[in-house]
Amino acid sequence: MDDNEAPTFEPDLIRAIFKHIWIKKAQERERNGFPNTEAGDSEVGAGTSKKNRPTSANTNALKLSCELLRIFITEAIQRAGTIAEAEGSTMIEPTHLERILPQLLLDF
Amino acid sequence: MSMPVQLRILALTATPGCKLQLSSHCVLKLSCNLNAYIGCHYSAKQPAIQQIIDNLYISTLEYRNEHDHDVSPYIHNRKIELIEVPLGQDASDVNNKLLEIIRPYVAKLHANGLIQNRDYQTLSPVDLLSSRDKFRQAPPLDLPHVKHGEVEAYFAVLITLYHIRKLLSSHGIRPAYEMLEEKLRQGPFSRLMSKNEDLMNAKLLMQRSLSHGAPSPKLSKLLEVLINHFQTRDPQNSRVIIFSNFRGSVRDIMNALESIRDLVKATEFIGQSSGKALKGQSQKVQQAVLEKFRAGGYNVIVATSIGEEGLDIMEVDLVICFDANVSPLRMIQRMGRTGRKHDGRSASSVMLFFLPNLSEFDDPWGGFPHVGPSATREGKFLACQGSELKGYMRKQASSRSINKHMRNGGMNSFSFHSSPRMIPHIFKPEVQFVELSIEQFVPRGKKLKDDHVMETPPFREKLTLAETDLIAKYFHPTSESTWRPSLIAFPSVQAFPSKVCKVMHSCRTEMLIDSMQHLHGLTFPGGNGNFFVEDEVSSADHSVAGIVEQHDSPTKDFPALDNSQAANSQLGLTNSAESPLRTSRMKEKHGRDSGCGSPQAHSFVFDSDFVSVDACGKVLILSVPSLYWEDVMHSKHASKITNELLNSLKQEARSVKTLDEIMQTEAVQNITVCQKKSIELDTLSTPRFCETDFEKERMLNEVEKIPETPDGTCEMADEANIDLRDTELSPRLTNLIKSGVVPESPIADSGLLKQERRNESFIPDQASSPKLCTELILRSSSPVESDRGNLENSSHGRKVSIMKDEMIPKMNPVSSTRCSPISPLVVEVKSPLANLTNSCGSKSWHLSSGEKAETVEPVQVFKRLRKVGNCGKDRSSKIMKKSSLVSLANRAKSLSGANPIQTKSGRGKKKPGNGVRTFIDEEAEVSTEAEVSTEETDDESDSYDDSFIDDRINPTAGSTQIESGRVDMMAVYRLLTFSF
Repeated sequence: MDDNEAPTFEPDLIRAIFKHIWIKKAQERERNGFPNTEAGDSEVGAGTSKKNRPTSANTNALKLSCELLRIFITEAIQRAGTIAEAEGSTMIEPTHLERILPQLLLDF
Repeated sequence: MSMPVQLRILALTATPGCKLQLSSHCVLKLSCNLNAYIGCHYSAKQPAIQQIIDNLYISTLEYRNEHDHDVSPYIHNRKIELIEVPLGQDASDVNNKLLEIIRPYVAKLHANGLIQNRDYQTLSPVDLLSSRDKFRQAPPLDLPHVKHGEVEAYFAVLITLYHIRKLLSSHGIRPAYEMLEEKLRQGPFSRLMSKNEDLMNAKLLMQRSLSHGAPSPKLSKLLEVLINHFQTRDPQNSRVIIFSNFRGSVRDIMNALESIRDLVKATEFIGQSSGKALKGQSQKVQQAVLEKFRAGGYNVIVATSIGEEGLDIMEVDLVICFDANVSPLRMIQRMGRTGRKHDGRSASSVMLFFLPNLSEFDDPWGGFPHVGPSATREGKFLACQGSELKGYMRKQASSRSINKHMRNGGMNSFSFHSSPRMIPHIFKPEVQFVELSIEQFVPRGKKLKDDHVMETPPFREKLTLAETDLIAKYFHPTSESTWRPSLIAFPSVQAFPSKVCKVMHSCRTEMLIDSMQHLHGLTFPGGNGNFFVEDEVSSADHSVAGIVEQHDSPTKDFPALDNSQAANSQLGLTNSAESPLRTSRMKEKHGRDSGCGSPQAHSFVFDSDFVSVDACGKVLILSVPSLYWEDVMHSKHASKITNELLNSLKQEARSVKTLDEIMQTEAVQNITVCQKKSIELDTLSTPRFCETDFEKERMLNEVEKIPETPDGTCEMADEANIDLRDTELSPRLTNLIKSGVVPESPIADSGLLKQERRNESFIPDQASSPKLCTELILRSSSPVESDRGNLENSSHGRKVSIMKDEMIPKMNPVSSTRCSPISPLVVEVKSPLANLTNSCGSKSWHLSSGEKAETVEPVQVFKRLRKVGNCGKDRSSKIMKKSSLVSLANRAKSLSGANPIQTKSGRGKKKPGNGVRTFIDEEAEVSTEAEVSTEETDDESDSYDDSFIDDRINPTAGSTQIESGRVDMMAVYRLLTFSF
């Protein structure tokens, strides 16, 4: 496997997706933050300045994430593909994915 | 003007300004509701206006006031009320004291000729200021230079005193006292006046008055006016602005308004600069105040001059000028704050003036006719006759004098310029009436984020139409609910490890698989391995029975495959060269079937599983038909649930085909034909009938299982193949018996009769029938089938008879055409059977034990399940069972494992019964069609009978059994999932 040559995800794309999720999570936390004071305190303890600072990932972490996602996706497609092939269809349908999904998720 | 001149309107101004502030007041007012009145009052002096005309080369001046016919329709009537407020004894006393102080200084200045000879009581700070300016610019020659400082000091003192007096007269004692205090603290005033007794007396007087706590008469009047106002108007909708010139009095007013807090929600509205006493409001605060005032959070604001211009608040219907002695320009602007929406009756301006208790003015209204009680504006100024009202009147007078100048366009008073036309003559401006309306006022707020701008992402362009459709199918751009893959959709699939590509299964996955197997009751008995080793077929059966995907798993698959393959090979060895041909045919058929089945499988969520299984099962040709059966079963189940009759029909048709194939594979084509016939009969009979048939069939299956064990033993003992055959036949017969049992229900009688006839012919041929009977007895005695056993016991006699009867019909067709083939079949069977029987025997034993363990309930459930719509399946399964009893046992085991599940499913299935019946009917039709096909197959089978068919029967049976077992399991799972 020449992973370097294999097409993979753009780190920028992954970063954008991550950020999207982080922001969403942060907003959720803010919304729900008041009841669970423990988590809030710990966050505040980490620094109120940090709270406003958006989460970030460094370059290597992004690269690693890209690779992980690539492997995950290819594996999912491969597995679903075998199911689809066994079924005789040329297109991977959601049902094929559903069949391999639980084990796939546990494998990662 | 002799000839009309095109005019260019330069500007509209409400207040063309006083002397010094021309530009700043040239306000272009184009208010939407046209309530700006144009140039109604001019305080500007004639030279000031002339200055504008000169500077701008104005050629024409149009002047309108609110009484002009072309302005008045757009002006809301406004009621201006002048309220005179008595100054109060204390204040007048103080005033007198102050005047006493003032008088000597004025006299001194007057002596020096620095002040016009005027009544010192009427002097104002402005007069003094102008006088002082004059003095500074041109000091009188006769005045010695040393005296200049003294005069300056006098001026300063007088200005301060007059200012205090002005405060006193317009705002009351408190502001005056505070100013006096402040002035006495430092500066030249304190130096000069700190020893003045009169001033000290005045101060004492003010102090005493303040300590009384007696409110200023103006304030009390203000409260009165406010209360009156809010009694007639809704406090929520009405707004009031109170103007005061000084922040000090603003604060006083605020304090006074505290007393009527329930009625009045007041706030102050002042400038930004922060003084010593009061802190200013930042622009932010000011905006917040106005916002709240608009929204109704406040209904009164107390404003300084900051509130005089630019506030456009519709709801304001009362403006109170706490002090009126300001420039007429400001008064105009103040009054312009009200009457912007409502008609004049609801809008009013109130001016509060102090009424001097000293009658210093004989006629306060003198010279101001329009302000008097008879004025058109219903002026009701309650003004103090003191300096305040005096100043107001004076300013009004000056504006009126300007008005006179402005009449007739000011032709008489001003000199205009004949400006050349600026617009080229090509262009002829036309008058157009355009209504400029603002539908909705959008306050300038924060910038809206552009998040809503949804651009079609660039990747969309690269996709084909089909791909975009596919995406849209699962991810609706509009709806929030996007498709999410389900993790529980295929629980049965999760019982087996899926194929992997690069990433191996983790231990967690294995745990999941294990637990799923446990949940599905697929755990293998401890002796499983042994069985596996000993009887490959049995192990294969086991694995197949529960595990659909074991085919996928390499470890399990291979043994199973090997077994089957081995069996095949054995068969093949025994078989003549025709076997490959058959296999090829089978393959072909299989291919067709698969082709047919795949689309349907797609239609069902779960069918795909089976399809995949098919793909896996392709290795075994023999298994193929069974797989189809499975598919059929599945589809039927699903169809039952979903009431998709059409699908079921198709599947049934397939099933028929598969049946045909099976028939072919089985040497006992005749029997199969007979079975088919019986099936047909069943189908023809009412659905109930079918159900009963199924139950019976199951019974038979169980029975068959038991007979197998004896078969195995027989085989082990190298008993005659004929016996085996007989036994084999006997299950078939038992199936027939089932059909025969059906006759017990009255409905089936007709069919029974037919069958009986056939059976009669059959019975003589087969001597094994008694064996069957014995076997049946054995079955009934077995604890496993307690319920059925009872039934069977009771019906044994019947059954036996029925058996015989049934035997006959079978024999009729069989005997006629294929009596001869049977014997060869038997012979051939021997060798393969031996192998198979060994395995079968072990299996059967194993199975039998399992059956014993099984409770009665599962079986019943199973029956129910089958009843629902599996008639065709059952029939097919019957065939299978006949050929291989072991499979049935396997099924039973699997069923027993899934007992609870089955029960659930059974309940679920009961409901769709109606649909099922219709299915059955349809099936009957299909079956008729099937007959034709079977005939065809019969022909083929005839040719093959010699070597082949028998051999096959066993392995096919095994595989089919296995698969059928799977099918059942899958059905159960489906039911489970559906019930979820």
